[in-house]
Amino acid sequence: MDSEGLCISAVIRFKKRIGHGGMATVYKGVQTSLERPVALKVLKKTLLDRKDVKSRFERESLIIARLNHPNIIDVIDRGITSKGQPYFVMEYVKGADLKDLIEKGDLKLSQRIHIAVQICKALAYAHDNGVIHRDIKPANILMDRQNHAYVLDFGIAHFCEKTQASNKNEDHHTQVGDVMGTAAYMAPEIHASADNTSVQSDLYAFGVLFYELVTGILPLGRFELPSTQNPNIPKAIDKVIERCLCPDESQRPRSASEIKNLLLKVMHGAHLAPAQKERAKKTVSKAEDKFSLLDVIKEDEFGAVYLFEDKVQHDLLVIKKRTNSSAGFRESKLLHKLHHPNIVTVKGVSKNDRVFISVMEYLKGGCLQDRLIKPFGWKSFISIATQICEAMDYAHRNQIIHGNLRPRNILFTSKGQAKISDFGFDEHYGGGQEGGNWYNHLGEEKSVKTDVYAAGVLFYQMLTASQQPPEWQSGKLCTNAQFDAFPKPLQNVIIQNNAVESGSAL
Amino acid sequence: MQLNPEARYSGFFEVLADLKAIKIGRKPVQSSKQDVATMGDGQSKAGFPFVLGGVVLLALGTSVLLYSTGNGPRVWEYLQLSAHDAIIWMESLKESFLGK
Repeated sequence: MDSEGLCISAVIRFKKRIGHGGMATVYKGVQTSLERPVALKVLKKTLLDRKDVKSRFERESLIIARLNHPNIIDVIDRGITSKGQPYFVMEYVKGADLKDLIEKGDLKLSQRIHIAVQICKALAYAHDNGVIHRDIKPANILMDRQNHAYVLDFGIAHFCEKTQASNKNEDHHTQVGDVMGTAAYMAPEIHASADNTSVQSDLYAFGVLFYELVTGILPLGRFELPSTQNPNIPKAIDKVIERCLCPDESQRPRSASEIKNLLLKVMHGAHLAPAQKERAKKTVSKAEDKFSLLDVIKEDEFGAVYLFEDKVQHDLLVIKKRTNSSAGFRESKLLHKLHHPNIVTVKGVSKNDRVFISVMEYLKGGCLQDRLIKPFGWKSFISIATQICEAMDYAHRNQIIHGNLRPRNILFTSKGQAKISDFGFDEHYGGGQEGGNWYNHLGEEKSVKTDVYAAGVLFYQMLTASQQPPEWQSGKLCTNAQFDAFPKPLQNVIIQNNAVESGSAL
Repeated sequence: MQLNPEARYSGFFEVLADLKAIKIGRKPVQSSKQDVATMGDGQSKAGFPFVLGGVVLLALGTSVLLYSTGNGPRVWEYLQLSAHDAIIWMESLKESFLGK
């Protein structure tokens, strides 16, 4: 219980108030079970006076709490206090908000662009899951001491009252009474109606934030382009900002992912550490003049994943490097000679005495893992599941076992077409996934049947958005009301994709 | 837990056959390995004409009853309300068929 008498949870202890805004009050607290600091955002009680807002909070706050991305602040819990105030319990990050950093003006241009790239990654992930931020502004970006950006308050503005914005709102703060957002960052269509909120309105707000980030001022009235104010700013940045701030939403970029890729091309790896660049350079040593490093997607003891740009074709390519002791070379080599619309194209493979590399096409639509915060509708499930099955059937007919089928290896094109990646590659579990490998939890040897089982788990996750693997008892799948509501044939596909105990009837 | 891999599909061609047999919101579907089943909580789209006919007959019956009891002027009001309710009901039924 805090000084204001808010009873939130027995496991959260209030410490002090650390922020206050038009929508909410923020407290620092301690999660007593783990003795770790947390931030508590307690929304205004008036927000729950309307019944529709309460039901919307109950429905959508769960989705917000499920967002899981390195550039989005983690929501640990959510609920409604004994006094009827909605709240979110979030991870506590020590640092400053981007507003303060912009005001200080200490950031290098490459750091500023890297912050924008991180914000775009967070937005792309949330948008792929149907979550619109609605209040993108520097005050909602938290920066830690390593310049890692965290976007705060995804979708929280959604719970604000829908009332007309005050034209006199000159201090740029979000207030109850705004049309869900902050006036200076609001797209023109939102001024007309809050119902016009969309991915494109978030991208408009991002455009304002990005302009402010590179110039230090807001783009008010007839604003000068950033490169006019500072010749060191590349013209490509002007173009990105101009497109984001286009009054006609159809002229704005289609996705945050598109902006991220444009910015990565501008940066040419300027945000990466020299050692990272050196390692990446060694990976493509034979074709160094053909490729330009844009980003390091992943690096660990087993290898690395890089994003390169083909200097001639200007295509983006993913280059995966693995140690020779890792599996996957045979499969990559076979797939290099094959083509299927639902399998990621392998453009080349090579090997030396230590490592092998596989050059693959880059897909803009992200991966299935990033779309599992809510269940798929039946129609889209069947469409994606069919594409997965067609790809797997084709691979099996060509003697290729995947052996590692999981949501992270199902990628999407910008048009939503599914493509399977990483045939034959091992997954290294660092204990992150509770219970180990859900997709082959009996440790069976890789075969057609293990791929079928993995697909069954994957399909179950798509239909239930379950954070747990399917469980079996006495030969029957332990289902819940949500699963039981599926059409029977769909249930049977999931059940038979997995396994049943010998002798039990389907 | 003893799982029996033998009971699984033997390949993705079988999964594909079952997936392709599923038709959301249409006729009863036949799974390659399962009994006939229907979508949308067992309700069939074939029932729509009967539902619609029932609503129209109900509206007509109501109007005849009201005229006969001297409440003629209120007939259209009743009809309007009934039709409105029927449309909302049918919309929800349609949504459940489409699996939304």
